[in-house]
Amino acid sequence: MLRYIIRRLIQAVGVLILVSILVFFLVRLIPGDPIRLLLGEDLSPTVEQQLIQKWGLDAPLYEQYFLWMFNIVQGDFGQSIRTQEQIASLIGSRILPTMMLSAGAMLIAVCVGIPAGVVAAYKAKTGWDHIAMFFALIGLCVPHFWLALLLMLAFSLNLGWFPVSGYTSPFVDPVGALRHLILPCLALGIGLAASISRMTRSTMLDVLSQDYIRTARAKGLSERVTVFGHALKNAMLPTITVIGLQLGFLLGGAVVIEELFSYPGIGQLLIFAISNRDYPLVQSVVLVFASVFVMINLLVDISYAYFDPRIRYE
Amino acid sequence: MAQTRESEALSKTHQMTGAEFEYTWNEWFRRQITFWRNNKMALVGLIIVTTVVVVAILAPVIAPHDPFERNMANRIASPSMEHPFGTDSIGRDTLSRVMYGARISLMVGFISVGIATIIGVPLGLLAGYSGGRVDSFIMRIMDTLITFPDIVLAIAILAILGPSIFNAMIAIGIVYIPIFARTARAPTMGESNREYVEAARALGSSVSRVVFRHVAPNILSIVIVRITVSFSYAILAEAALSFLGLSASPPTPTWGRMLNEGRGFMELAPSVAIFPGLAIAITVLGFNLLGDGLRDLFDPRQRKA
Repeated sequence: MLRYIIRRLIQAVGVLILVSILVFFLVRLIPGDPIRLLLGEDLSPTVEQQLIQKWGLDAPLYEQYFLWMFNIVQGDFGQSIRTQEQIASLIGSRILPTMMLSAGAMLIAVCVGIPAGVVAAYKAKTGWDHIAMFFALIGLCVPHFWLALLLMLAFSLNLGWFPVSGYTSPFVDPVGALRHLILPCLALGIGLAASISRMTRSTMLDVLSQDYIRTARAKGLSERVTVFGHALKNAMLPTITVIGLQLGFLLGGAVVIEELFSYPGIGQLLIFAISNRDYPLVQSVVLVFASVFVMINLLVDISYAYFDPRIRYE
Repeated sequence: MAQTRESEALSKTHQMTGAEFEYTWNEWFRRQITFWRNNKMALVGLIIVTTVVVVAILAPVIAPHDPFERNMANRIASPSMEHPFGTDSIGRDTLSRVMYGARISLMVGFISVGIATIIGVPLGLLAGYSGGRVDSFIMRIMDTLITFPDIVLAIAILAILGPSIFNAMIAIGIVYIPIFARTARAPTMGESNREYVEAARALGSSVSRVVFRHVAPNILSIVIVRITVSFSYAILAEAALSFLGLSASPPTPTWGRMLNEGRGFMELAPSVAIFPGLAIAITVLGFNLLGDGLRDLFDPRQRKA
């Protein structure tokens, strides 16, 4: 198990290094002189020279890359060009809101998706199954930002139950924070619930037809023990993978949802960075997104190997 | 004498293959009908996709109004006989704009999925056929690309290229390259060990000939299914990008942008926030159902019992 973890860890670090090279050179690909692009055309040559030296832009590209990486490893992402703030603290202040949003959406997705999938599989080919899968299909096809608009229209504008947009810190006002969170979490979570329920249904169907389930029933175990103790436990493996991989999509979806709800998370920061052509910030935020995704993938793989020993020895 | 008999035998086989071909052609046609009749969901998908394509092509003919024509006297109007989907904040007809929006969505789907297919599939073929170092080199790059959540990577690419509809198509295309590479690689690995590939190799065919003439046709059905399903992802991604204002510039009618423009007025006129979203959802549903259907059609083993 340890060997497997170490091997996957090395692979993950390799991918991360590739990602960082990609992100670094992606921004260098922008046509034009970076300083003029960032600070405008009317720049005195002396200032330009000073900045080139200050940011080390006269060094060879690979040296610039290593310097950049060296600083990032120490937690120094550099400065935002627009706000002059430290990028590390800008990102740091937005991690909690995005984490709360993702966790909330995931909670809704799991609490709706898994029971729906189990019921659909257990009652396969009945009305329950058809209803659950009909909603799952709808949930997959509805764009989450449109769902967000519809939720806003119904619950904020018409019924007035929730605020239209914004964010409250949970440390200041826990109830207010929850009220701000519910609609964005629903908008993100429903689509996810749909794919989780489809995955749970198909793996549960698979498992329920296995011999050991027949054995469990034959030896007189109650349906409750058979379904929840024997079947669901085994069906959870592929479902966990789907959930883990969906976390990445969750981050992508969070970009749009945060922007729509004026929710101060990392996704909104990315949109801010791009609309202001704040390239160092774009670079850092994209790198953070990719790192989180790589880390989630690593955890999913490790948990998978933990549940299914065959994988370790592949 | 012997020669005639031989040629007779030969012509007989030809006739047989000819007849066989005709038979399979008829059979194929009959199977199609039974398949689409038995797979109601796939048929619904086919009908939706066809309808969207027809609407997109015929938009200039069937749209009741000019999608760019403003009418400030009749802004954010509710649905009526004159404007079945209502009008937007500067009085443009929403139905006409939704119809023209179908053109943008389909074009984005077509071009971005095209880019992903043309680059991704050969890469996957090469990786799967070569194995070893070439395989790990290509797939490590693909793993890296797939590390970014799709929208985030598309946004990052658009940050470099600058926001426009054309660049959005390129960005979405690049984002989906790894998916097509993976789709093509897995079956290629299986096919490469089959006897017919070995035979082709033994006959002295070049690598590119073996891969493109012999292996590629055998993984075609899997790629076609992937293309169909990817259309729905590409349409969703473009809608999200244009919703964020990173795709087509105004006044181009795109579904995502219409939703963004409508959200400020949706309390007064819910129709501006409803119909473009409905168009996206239905189109995506169509491509998903069609993709599922095609998978069942090509691979009967996966047909649900």
